[in-house]
Amino acid sequence: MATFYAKGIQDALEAVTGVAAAPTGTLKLAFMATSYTADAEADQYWSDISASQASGTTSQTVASTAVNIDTSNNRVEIDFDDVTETPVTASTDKVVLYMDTGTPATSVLICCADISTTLSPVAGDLTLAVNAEGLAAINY
Amino acid sequence: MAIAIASTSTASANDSTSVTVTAPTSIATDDLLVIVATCGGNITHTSTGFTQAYTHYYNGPSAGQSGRITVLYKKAVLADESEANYTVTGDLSNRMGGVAMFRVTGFSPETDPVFDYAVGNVSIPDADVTVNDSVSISRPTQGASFIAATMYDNDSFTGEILYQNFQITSTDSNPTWTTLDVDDNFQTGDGSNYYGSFSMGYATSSDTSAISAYGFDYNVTSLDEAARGIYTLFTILTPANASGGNTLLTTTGTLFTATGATGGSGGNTLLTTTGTLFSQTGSGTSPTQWTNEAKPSTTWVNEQK
Repeated sequence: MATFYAKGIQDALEAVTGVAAAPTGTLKLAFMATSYTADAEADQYWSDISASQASGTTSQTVASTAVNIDTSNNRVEIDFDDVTETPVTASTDKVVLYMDTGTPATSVLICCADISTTLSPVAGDLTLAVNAEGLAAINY
Repeated sequence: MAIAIASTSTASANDSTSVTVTAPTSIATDDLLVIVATCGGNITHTSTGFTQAYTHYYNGPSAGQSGRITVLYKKAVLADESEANYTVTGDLSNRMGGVAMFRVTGFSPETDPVFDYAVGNVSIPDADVTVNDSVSISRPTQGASFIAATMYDNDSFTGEILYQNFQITSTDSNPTWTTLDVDDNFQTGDGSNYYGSFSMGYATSSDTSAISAYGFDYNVTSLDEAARGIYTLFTILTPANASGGNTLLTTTGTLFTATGATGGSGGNTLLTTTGTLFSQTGSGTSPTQWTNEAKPSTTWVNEQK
């Protein structure tokens, strides 16, 4: 199930309100196993779900990250470049965006997004062609 | 390009620590080389330059009925084009064994080429045994299926076991199998009269339906005692890329009604609240006016103490 994770939203609001500093690290994307179902509350850190990463894949650093205000759709969107991993043999139907602090137990989960179809590369390229609007958005 | 089994070779030895197999013919750089190694007992198979894809050990009811099957792979380099043979070594003395080697084209492995696999074992009495194990192995692309079938016996081996009717079950028809009989009787017990046999079946197919079962027949003639069958199925599929877009994930924030606001205009419901003034405590002093008795018209104020 696609979802924002509660912990990620909490950290974001704490950061903008000055309650706590924003977590720092490297923004990463993980292709997840088809058996994984996101739990918005129970899944907080990468260590909670790393066992459900699609076999044969590794987390990929995302590039050109942007957070854009879409005035036409009244929402704030998270966007970045397409992500490709190669060579890989895997099966995946969803991705998770998280902030890798270098320690899985403190790497906060941001959101889990569905891929439009199950991807099953065989010793080939695995690519997430990020939606033209981005990976995720929060309406306002 | 679809993968193909271009050439094969086999070898076996009795109570040996290593087995040397002749190189399959016409190896070219970037070919996929696959070795399937078997042995009695629990040993680790290695071969220089090869990486283990997976291994399966079955600990049988007696020492001689245990065995291991290991699948190794390598991406051929220029030196392999002139290589005469390859040696597979076990980390325990005198337990090998049989080896089958394949040269596969259409797959230049930068990663483990085995897409999926299944393993099993079965008791073989002095009668034919049909293996038909249920599995769930997808085939996103066309490719090749391999079944490695072995038998281990814990005493002087007499009789004969043939391996027949290799098959996979899917919504497509069973492909045409090629049988590679490696050896029907080799010693694996470091002098302890343990025996094994090893045969492989392989088939390429353009089918992409999931494999729901696989099997073959142990065709038995006059065994002197029960033996143990150990086997595995693995698939190597034609490489393919996969790309997909994400469904945009959106969520809407919730604004709670705030308290303490006053005023406002427009269509919103006016939210009002009443402030509370708490009772305050304090202290204070009042100046005392003094009068001079002798001059009653004179007054003064005592300065602050």
